[in-house]
Amino acid sequence: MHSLSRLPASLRGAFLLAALCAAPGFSQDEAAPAEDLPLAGFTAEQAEAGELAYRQSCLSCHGSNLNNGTFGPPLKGRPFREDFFDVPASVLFAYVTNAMPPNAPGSLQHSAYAGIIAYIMQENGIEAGDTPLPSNAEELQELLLARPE
Amino acid sequence: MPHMEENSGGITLKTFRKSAILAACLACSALIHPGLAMAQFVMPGEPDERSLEILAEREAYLGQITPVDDALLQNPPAEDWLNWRRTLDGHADSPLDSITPDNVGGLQLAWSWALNDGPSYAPPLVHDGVMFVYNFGDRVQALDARNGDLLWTYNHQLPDGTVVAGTNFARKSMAIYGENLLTMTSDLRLVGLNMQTGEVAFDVQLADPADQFAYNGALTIANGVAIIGMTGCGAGQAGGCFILGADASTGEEMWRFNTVARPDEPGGETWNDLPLDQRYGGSVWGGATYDPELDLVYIGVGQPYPWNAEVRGTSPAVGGEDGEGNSLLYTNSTLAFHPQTGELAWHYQHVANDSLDMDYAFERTIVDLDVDGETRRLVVTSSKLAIFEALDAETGEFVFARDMGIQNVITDIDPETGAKTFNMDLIAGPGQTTEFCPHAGGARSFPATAYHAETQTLYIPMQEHCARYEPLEVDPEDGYPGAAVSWAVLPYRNADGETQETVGRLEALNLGNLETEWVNRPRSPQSTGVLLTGGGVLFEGSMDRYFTAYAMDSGDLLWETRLGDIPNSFPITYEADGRQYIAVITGGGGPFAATWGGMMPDILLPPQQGSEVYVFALPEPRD
Repeated sequence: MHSLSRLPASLRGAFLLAALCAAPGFSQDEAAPAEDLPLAGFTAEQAEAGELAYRQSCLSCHGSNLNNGTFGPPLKGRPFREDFFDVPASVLFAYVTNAMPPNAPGSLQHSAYAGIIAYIMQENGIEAGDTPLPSNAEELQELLLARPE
Repeated sequence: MPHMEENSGGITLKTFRKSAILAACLACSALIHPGLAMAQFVMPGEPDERSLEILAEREAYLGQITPVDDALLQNPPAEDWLNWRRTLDGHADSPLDSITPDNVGGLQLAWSWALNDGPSYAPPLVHDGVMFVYNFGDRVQALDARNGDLLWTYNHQLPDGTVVAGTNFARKSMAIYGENLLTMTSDLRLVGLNMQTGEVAFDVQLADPADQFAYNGALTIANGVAIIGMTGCGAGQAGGCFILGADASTGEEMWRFNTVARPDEPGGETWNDLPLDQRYGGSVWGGATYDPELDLVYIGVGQPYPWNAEVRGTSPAVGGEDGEGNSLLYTNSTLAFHPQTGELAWHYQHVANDSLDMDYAFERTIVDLDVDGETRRLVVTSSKLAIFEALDAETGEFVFARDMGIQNVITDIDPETGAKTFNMDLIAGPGQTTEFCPHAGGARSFPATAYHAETQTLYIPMQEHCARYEPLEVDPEDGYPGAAVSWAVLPYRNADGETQETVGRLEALNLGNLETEWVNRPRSPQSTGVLLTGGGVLFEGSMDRYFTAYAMDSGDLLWETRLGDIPNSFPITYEADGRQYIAVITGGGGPFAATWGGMMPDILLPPQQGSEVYVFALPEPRD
């Protein structure tokens, strides 16, 4: 079960904000245990589109390699995976759609946010497949964002 | 074809003629190749006689632009704005005095001009009645400063696949030298454009963007040398950033100085025995100032990377004690160079082995002050900590410090040396969390101070806020981790633990006695540098999209207007045809919007980062 207390301090406020917005990603207490959920996947096309969206909206803070940002925290590696993996994919989706990019939260198309998450998954070692990552919280809540093998 | 330059003009008479010739040539080729229909190449319209007259008038107006030499840069005409802070000493104090506290309330929009959307910090530069503007994404335009008519455009051609986004595509200023307007491009070329035509005079590759270096500084010309600092050096460039001097007449590199000391060079012993490929940081992302009498150019260097000393391996100190062995030269330092040779005359490190991203990267204001009965030339600067420090301009000797009282991490400043003592309880280790003030967005950031020499008053734009930091426990197998801190920006808490509802702070500080003359605390963070004018009116912008005039002597609010996005260029004033204008560029995005939004979600901004030049003047009948 995902625990807010495990999130970095900086994320908790945004999560509370997201909860206030009644983002479906936060009603997971009533859902099945996360580890029993089917795995979230994505397509290579999604990741490719997501990389472009990342470069346009995220790279400036998080860096060209996702872990070399001059201002924002890394989006791959152990600390990031501890916060956002092994929980429903809706958690990361709720976070990025409510808080990112910081100058205009929620300003991207939901399909672009899904693409960015697909790109982040790929950069964290998950391989692309045939099933696209959904771009709505309800469906993502039923999928596990699992760490790579 | 990468790096191909073109002047794709507003339609000037010259470009119109070029197009007509092109159309004629294509028509000829159609005759040679009968399969091509001539109709494909017919021009889309025939200009009327009046438009040809107007185009000729504009060409003549451009033709009256005169060259700019070092003497003019050192003593610019009141009408012009030739340098990012008008004068090379960084004062941003114009003698123009038509706009006064009594009449500024009548200020109106004279004209505006839309630019490429994006963060836009570079001030318009004005010379001989022509305004030069930098557009996000490497477009440069010349405009008639009286009315905003487009005179020419230069579209720099970026390498294939370039995604134009982020602050690395913003500039803090172009520069003017000789017959040319100089700009650094996003692919790290120094381009000189003829001010009269926009045609490329020189175009020199100075660094490789593939190495993730970037340029978002303020180009400064000192004694014929363009001073250029590289930034982006938190992105994993082993060996850090550098400053280079380039011939302002040709663009050719003259010298280069590494801001991260090499192991076998002076200062190389200050990196805690780390090999060069594990030394990161030292970005240079501000502009320089220049003292022609001492022939010294002053520029600041940012902090080391990753942010936290323990994460990056510079604490604990090898040998057990913090000291010279892990001060990390030349991070968080003021550097003084002779511009023609690149010889380092002196350096002064303000903070050693930084863990907080406090960035001593901002302007070095050159002032003359009486110190203990003796007039001394000083260089005044502050990092994000908002502690203003004065150094002897000739020697770099520490003279004094004035803490603006926002930060709470430094408990003592040695009055003789300026050495700072940190409250180490507030410096977290990996996996730990601490709260302190200010956040890395800065109690002040690159929006520059302005200085009125007559009253020895420094006008300072600031923000009051605090931070929560959690340095990340990174795994070396994951490679270089960037900043490697998870952070939150927090409302400011005073010494009694009470939070306040305001963030912005604009203060007039007398450098002669270090007393505050006045202080305003608007709710919104400040977002532009300060502009001072001879009429006694100060101009400043804020993140809530207001552009505001205050009385320099009292801080009283005199006039305000609301713009389409964040005013974020350095504001300027100039005169054309005897009329004084005030100009500022909006742009949004950038580090401010990325930082303060979480703390002030009520300040909502257009997502497209709308960039536009706004020019204001007192009402005048239209011809």
